[in-house]
Amino acid sequence: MVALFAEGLTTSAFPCSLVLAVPGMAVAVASRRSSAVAGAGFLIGLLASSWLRFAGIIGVWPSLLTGTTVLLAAIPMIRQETGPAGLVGLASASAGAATASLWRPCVGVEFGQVLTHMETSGLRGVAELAIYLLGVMAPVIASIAALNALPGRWLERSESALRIAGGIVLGIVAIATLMGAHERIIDELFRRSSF
Amino acid sequence: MSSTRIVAAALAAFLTGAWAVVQLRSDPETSLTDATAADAVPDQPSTTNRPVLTAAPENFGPVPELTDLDGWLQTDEDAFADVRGDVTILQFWTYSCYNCTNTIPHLQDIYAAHRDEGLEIIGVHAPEFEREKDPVGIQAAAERLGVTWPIALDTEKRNFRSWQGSRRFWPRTYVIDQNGDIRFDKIGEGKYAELEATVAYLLENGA
Repeated sequence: MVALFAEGLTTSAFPCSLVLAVPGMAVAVASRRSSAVAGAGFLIGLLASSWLRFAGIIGVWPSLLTGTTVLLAAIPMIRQETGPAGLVGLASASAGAATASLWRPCVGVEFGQVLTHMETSGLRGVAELAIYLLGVMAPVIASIAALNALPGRWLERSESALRIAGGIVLGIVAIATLMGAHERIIDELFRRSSF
Repeated sequence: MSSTRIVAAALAAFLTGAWAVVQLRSDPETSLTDATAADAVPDQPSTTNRPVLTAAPENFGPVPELTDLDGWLQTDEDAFADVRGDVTILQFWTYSCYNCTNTIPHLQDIYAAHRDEGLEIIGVHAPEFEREKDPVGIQAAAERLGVTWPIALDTEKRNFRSWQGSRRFWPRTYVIDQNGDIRFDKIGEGKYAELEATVAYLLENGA
C-alpha cells in the first residue's frame, strides 16, 4: 500500500499525471471559498470515473462530452457567490469524472499490478486506485492546504483573481479537448520532459 | 473549522477507509500477491538462479489474430505467422512510453536466456502520439533501445484495441504458448521473474 502511494507520488511530476493535477488545482483555485468541497468532489469524481474505465465497465468519454463537461463545471465555480450551495461539489465531481477520460496513466510496477487485476478485484481495486490517486494528487492537495493557510487578508484581496485564473485554466483544458489539441499538448510535455 | 482542517480530516478518513478495505479484503484466495503459484518466485530475475514454476500457468484462452497491420520492421515476413507453435512473448509498446522502455532490458535478458530454447518475441508498436507513427523514428528508437526482435507496426492501433478491449494500456505483455493460448498477461512494468518462469515452464513442459 505504501509502495502504491509512493509510486503515485513519484509519477505526480510526470506529464501523464499533469493531466490530472492541472484541472484538479484549477478546480480548487476557482472554488476558492469552497476549495475543500471542490477538491473532495474532484477526487471522488475522478476515482469513480477512473475505476469504471479501468475495470472495463465504460470506455473513454468522447472528446465532445469531456470538453463540454469541464466547461460547464467551471461556471458554478467562478460564480459560486450567486450559485446554490452544493452545486460546486457536484460541478467539481463532474470535472473530475471528465478529467479521468483524459488520463493515460503511467503504469509502473505497483499500479500495473493493480490494473492487471482491476476487472475482478472489486472494492479492493477501488481502494487501491484511491491510494494511488492520493499519491498522484498529493502535491495538489498540499498546495491547496498551503493556499488556505495564507493570511486571510491576502486571500480576500486575491479571491477574484484566483477564481478567474482557475476558470481560465479549466476553460483552456476544455477548449483544448474540444479542439483535439489536448493530446498534442501532452505529447509536447512528454517530449520536453524526455520521459 | 477551517478549510485546511476539513481537507486534512477528509484525507485522513479517506486513507483510513482505503487502508481498511485493502486489509480486510486481502484473504489468501483473492490476494493479488498470492493469486498464483507463479507469484512465489522472486521479483527480479536472476541469471544464476532462474525462477521455476511448480504448476502450469493459468490459461487465458486463445490469442487473437494480428490483423490489418501497417507493416513489419526487423523482419522480411509476417513474424506472427512464423512463430505459430513457438513460445512467444508479445508486447504492445510505443517508444516514447517511459514504462515500456523500462521493460526492454528485462525482455532482453529473458530473450538472451531462452532464445536458443525456442523463445520468440514480437513487439507490437502502437503509437500513443502522432509523431510516433513514423517507421523511421520507430526503427531508430529500436536501435537506440536495443530492441532486436521483430516489430509489428500497429499504426492505427487496430490490434491494440481489439486485443485489449476497453482496458487499453502501454505496455501490455503476453506470453503465448505452443497451442496459441495466452498464458501470461501483465499490464505495466514488473513481474519479470514470473514472466521468465512462465516462459521457462512452457519451453520445458509444453503447453
